[in-house]
Amino acid sequence: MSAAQLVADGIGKRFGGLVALDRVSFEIVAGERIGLIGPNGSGKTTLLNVLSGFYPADAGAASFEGARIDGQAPAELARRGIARSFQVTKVFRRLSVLDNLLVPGLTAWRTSRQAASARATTILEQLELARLAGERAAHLSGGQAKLLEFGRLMMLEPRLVLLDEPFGGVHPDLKRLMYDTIRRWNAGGVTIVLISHDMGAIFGLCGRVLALRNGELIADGRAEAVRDDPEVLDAYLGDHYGPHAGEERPA
Amino acid sequence: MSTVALGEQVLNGLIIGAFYALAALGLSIIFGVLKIVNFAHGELYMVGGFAYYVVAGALGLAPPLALIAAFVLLFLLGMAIEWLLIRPMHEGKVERPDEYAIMITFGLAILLQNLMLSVFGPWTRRPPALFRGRVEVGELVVSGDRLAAAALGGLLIALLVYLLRATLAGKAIRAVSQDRETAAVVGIDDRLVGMLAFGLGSALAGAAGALMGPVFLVYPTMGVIPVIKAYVVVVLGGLGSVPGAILGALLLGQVENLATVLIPDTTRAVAYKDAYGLVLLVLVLLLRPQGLFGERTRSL
Amino acid sequence: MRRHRAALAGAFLLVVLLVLPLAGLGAYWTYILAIGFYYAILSSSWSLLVGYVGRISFAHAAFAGLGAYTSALASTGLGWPIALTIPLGVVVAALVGLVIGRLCLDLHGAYLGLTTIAFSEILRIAITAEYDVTRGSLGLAAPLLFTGDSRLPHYYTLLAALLAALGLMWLVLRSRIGLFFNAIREDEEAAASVGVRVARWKLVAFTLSSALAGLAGGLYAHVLQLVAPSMMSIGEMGFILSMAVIGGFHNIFYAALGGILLEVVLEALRQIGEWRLTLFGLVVIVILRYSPNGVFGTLARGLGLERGPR
Repeated sequence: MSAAQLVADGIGKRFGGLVALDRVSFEIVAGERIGLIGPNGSGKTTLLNVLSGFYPADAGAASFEGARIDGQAPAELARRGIARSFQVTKVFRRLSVLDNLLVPGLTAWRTSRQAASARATTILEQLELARLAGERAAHLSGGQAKLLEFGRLMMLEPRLVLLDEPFGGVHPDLKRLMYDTIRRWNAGGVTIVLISHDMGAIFGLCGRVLALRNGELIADGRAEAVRDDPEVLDAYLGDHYGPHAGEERPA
Repeated sequence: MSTVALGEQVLNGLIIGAFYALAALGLSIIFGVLKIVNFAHGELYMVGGFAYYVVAGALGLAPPLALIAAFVLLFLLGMAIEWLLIRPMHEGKVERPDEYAIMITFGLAILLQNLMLSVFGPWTRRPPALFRGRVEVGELVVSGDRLAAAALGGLLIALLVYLLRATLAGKAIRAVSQDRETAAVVGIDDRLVGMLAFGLGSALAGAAGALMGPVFLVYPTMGVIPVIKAYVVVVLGGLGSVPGAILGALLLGQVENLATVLIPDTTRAVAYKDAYGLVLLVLVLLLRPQGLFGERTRSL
Repeated sequence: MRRHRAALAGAFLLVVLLVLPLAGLGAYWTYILAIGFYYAILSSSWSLLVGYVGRISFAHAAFAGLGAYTSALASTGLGWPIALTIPLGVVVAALVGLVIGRLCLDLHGAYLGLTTIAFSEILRIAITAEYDVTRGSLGLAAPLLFTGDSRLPHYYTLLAALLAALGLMWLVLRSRIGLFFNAIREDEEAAASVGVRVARWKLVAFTLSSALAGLAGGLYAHVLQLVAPSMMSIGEMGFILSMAVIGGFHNIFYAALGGILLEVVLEALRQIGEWRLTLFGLVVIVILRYSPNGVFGTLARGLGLERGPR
């Protein structure tokens, strides 16, 4: 078995009295495509925030390619090869589409503006956004903005990409383009972690699935196995329809 | 220092605290409902002072009536300001609403201050007081007009608290403060509440100016220092919290008085008097931005 | 083509400003324009912070005051040459800017506004209170920058300083640093997530803008020959804000022109007294509400001088 690229070891996170993450542990090997599922409030985005440096962990540790990542600043982790998207699209609205891509492209000082522009243009062509290069990002449609976010991530040349519900409200054509982009990324060796409620996307793209419930990791295995896992079904379908419907809950 | 003198200091601190509370409450309500810091608050306070001066002094109406007139005038002015300048923020007509709110209220402050300067000139005026003479509270002696003004201020604060707790309008205000969208969904006219909140906030500031005018004199720049006190109070208590503002005001009143007394070099201590509150404000904003009594909101 | 048009317009303005005093402008208006250049440095460096990085500070006038008092105190109290004390003022303003900027890193919006007002007032009160050193509200006398009757050296020195300030800011803004500033303004979290070191650039912006304010203040002290706490007041901050907003605070050149324009208008309308400032307040409000690009921004658009997605 190859060495793990991303290791989470007992990650815990509290917000006041609320336990958002509880002893979450898993290992991811480079090049995997992992789905992260769970009902609302189960801690998926929180976990992403911890892994990308937006929240410090209250317990446990995470490391990427052998070095600790929990508690590091987001900008540092981005430079180390971890890229993430946001649930709510966060493009730089008053900058042009091209400039949106130049921001990540130019964070490395030795990269010249020409080189970054050339790469950005190539990426825009791949995403079918090239004709909008001079437009303000605010003028993009929702789906185009999501693609632009993808483009931003591509500019970073990451080795691990964390996607937080990228398909929300996206037109099927654009969704296909996004699937292709994700597959192409992965084919180039990039590890993908995908949070989504879109089960078609999860099971279509991911070979392995992690399931969270109330901050705890309740399943970690092959997609088909997790899909049929009774506890996962219970988490989603709950007291009335799940496999444990009608039973008395253990204390 | 003797207990009597200390007692008088504490009483003075309480009186000042009542004034600060009145000036700050309006700011708190405006922030609570509209989520903006009103940088023109000091000028609304000042306009209230002038309104009282004109109505009581030039027009000769009885002081209590003049106070009510100032309140009403500022209420209307506040609603007009909200309608013209603030409402567009919530209707998507402004590109960067937070930036806009800060700068436009600052601009309004410039406009109002210089407008009053142009119309009335820089000279100080003394409008008629509500009550003259000295009052003895046991062994403590305090000036009557201050006490009367503070008492009326306290009454106004009590009325306000009653309004917010017991009336429908007050509950609507609290609802919109907590969650504008949800309030709108359950049928509260959030835009009307917004207008009422700015009107009420301005009226409270104006009432404070009207009450303090006879005590501290009326002049176009009279709002500059008090508004800073109001900021300190509101930040101390937690932006948007009414009980916090009241407690913060009383706290500031005591801190200023006692700090002046406790620092040995009297002339320097007095010169720095206004700075104590500011240092407190900076400390709170840097260390505990939600204030002593506010809730931790998400940053940014 | 458009880029050339804008450069041409700028060059034309520059030539006009260079030639005006020699073409019979008169001592009075030469002096007024020189003061206009002082305000132009302040309004443009303020717009760097507000328009490009998106952080509104109300401490700007205080930094000008810091530069002014440092230079005045060092030249009168310590007897140092002005050529040394003005840079010293810049350094002091920059250092204090660094400290305050560092403290305010996590503050945004109105909280940042309030904190910077507080710092500004604390500095002003401290300077007023330390009468023995600063002569309080009476103000401190400062030696003249250039002795002799002519206002010309002061005019050209301030103009040179303005051009240097604008040049330095422009170099920074057109580099990738300017792009990072804009990204921070648009969305700090997103910027951080793509590798922008948000804290560092916020500090650079704050320190740079305070340093330039300190430079302006230092020069002002030796042109006016008097420094008083009033130059650090919130009223002065109101001037700076008005000039930047009316000129166009999204662009350092428009903001600078706003500074010059408003100073000239302020003098030209002297007869109507305080009504001038009332007018400014009104214009600020109208521009913010209906024409946020400011006078020069709107003008530039109309003349087709602008490029880019604005």
